[in-house]
Amino acid sequence: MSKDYDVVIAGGGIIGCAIAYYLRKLTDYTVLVIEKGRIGSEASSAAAGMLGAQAELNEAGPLYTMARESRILFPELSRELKEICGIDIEFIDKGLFKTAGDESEVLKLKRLIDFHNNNGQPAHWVAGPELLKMEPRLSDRVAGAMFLPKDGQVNPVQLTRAFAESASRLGAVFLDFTEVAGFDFSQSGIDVQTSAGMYYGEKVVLASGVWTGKLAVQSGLHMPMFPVKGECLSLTFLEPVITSTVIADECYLVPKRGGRLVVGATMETGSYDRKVRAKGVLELLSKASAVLPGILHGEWEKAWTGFRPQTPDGLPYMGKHPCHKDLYIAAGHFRNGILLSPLTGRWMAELLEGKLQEETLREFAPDRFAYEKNERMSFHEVDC
Amino acid sequence: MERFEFHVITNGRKQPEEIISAASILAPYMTCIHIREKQRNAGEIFNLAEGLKGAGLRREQICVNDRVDVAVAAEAGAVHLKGTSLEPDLVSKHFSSLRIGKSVHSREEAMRAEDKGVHYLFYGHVFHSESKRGSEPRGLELLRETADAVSIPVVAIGGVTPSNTSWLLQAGAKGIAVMSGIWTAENLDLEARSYSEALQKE
Repeated sequence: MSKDYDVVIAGGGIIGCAIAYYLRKLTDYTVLVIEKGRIGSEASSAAAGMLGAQAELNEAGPLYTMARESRILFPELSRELKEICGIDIEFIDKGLFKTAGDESEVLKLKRLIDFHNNNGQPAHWVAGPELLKMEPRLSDRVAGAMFLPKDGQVNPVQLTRAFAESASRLGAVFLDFTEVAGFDFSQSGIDVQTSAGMYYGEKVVLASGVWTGKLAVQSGLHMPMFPVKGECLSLTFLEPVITSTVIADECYLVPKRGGRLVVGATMETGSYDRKVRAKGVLELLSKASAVLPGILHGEWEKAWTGFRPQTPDGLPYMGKHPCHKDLYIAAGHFRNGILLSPLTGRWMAELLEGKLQEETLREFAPDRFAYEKNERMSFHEVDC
Repeated sequence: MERFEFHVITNGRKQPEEIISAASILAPYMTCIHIREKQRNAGEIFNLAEGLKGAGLRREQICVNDRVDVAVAAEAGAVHLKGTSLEPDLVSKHFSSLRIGKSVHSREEAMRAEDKGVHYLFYGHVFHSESKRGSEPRGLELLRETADAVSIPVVAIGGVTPSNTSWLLQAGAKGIAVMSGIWTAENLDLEARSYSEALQKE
């Protein structure tokens, strides 16, 4: 196995795998992905796979725009990945309901509908009786819902696998169960120290989810990140209980193949605790059964946790390191990593190739909180 | 150049998520964050301390107000005592790894605290402040007297801004403690930066 690559990616989650895929698809660069565990084993496989470009983002800003542009890529991507590696990412575009329980929520959702419509995005109100015709098992206490026809879903585990498998078929190399320990910066290129020896990358991309902050510190960059732990659970049914994804007050229900239903997700800021708490399961089941009473008859499958990589301003970090010209960052996608993965992968590939206009990533600059600390607790702007 | 301390104190009005998010920005600038959340119980304070570690803070950067038990359980680096807390000598006897701080309001109180093994002091309020409205500030002269009377670091609190920081340092303070100035900042990163720059000027 070669030790020298044009691009070394630290992190084999959805973002790292998407970047590897687009690099091999769009460029001739040789690519190595280094992953400390199994490919896609952290937040990427804990996700429910909603493509909530409108459901998750409801204020104007760079993320709202990016999310919509990334969502557009899925239909084509789904065909493309299937063709290359045979994996079906289970892309479904049946839309998504966001339900309202009382009058104040109805008003809030109607304002949101106006917001989406004003931004040229489809969204409309579905009143209670009409909603029950479309999803007959929902509780009749649901007052109505905002319908977002363009928000779909995928199977996030399959998507990560498909990115990795396709990148691999196109020539990328994957090294799992190997941890990146640090970097040696030379005039050109970067030596990457790992638990399996030294590798060299002309360029290196940090895509290690919530653990990226710690790697960045080693390069003198303060890039604040913290985990927001989430708990999810799944149930199975002999026949599907809903056809569209349903988001209710503090929980969501995502119907999957084979009568599976994923219910998520709790939020706990700052926790790296992998335990599924009884409290989390109780909360999820009680909130979910308020909108879909029938879920209590489902068969228990499993519950799990994951750490969403969050940043103080809620925007991911994507772009170049302020000092080391060969170091790049793509991390901090919080709840939206699955949805944003195609466009992140494409943008980063284009950036590495020098084909992306710097303006595109301006709001996501990794050095927007970047002042480095010297030994005396005094501070200066990162010196390039 | 001396190394001055920069303490940030929570104001009891923020959600844990907001505090953790803010602390992740403040991490490289501040000496420590004081969890001063009188309305929260021990379990909540413990969870918050754990969350702060998750955001990348070192244990020395976490200071628990009053609750010595929580500071020990959460392996925080420091505890800040008030008048009704355990006595400092008792705390240092049983928990020698904790840095112990105390708030004082006079030179005599400061000297007594030093005798009892306190590692640093908060002295204030020096200037008019949002959180001590209606009571007269103690001013720079009394700060100087207090700082001169003890050999442990005296940290100035009360109405501290980036622009008055240099006066405080000239009066002998070894650092500053900020509450309103940080939590009302529109741009936290910029605000923290101006405080730390002010602390470098001296």
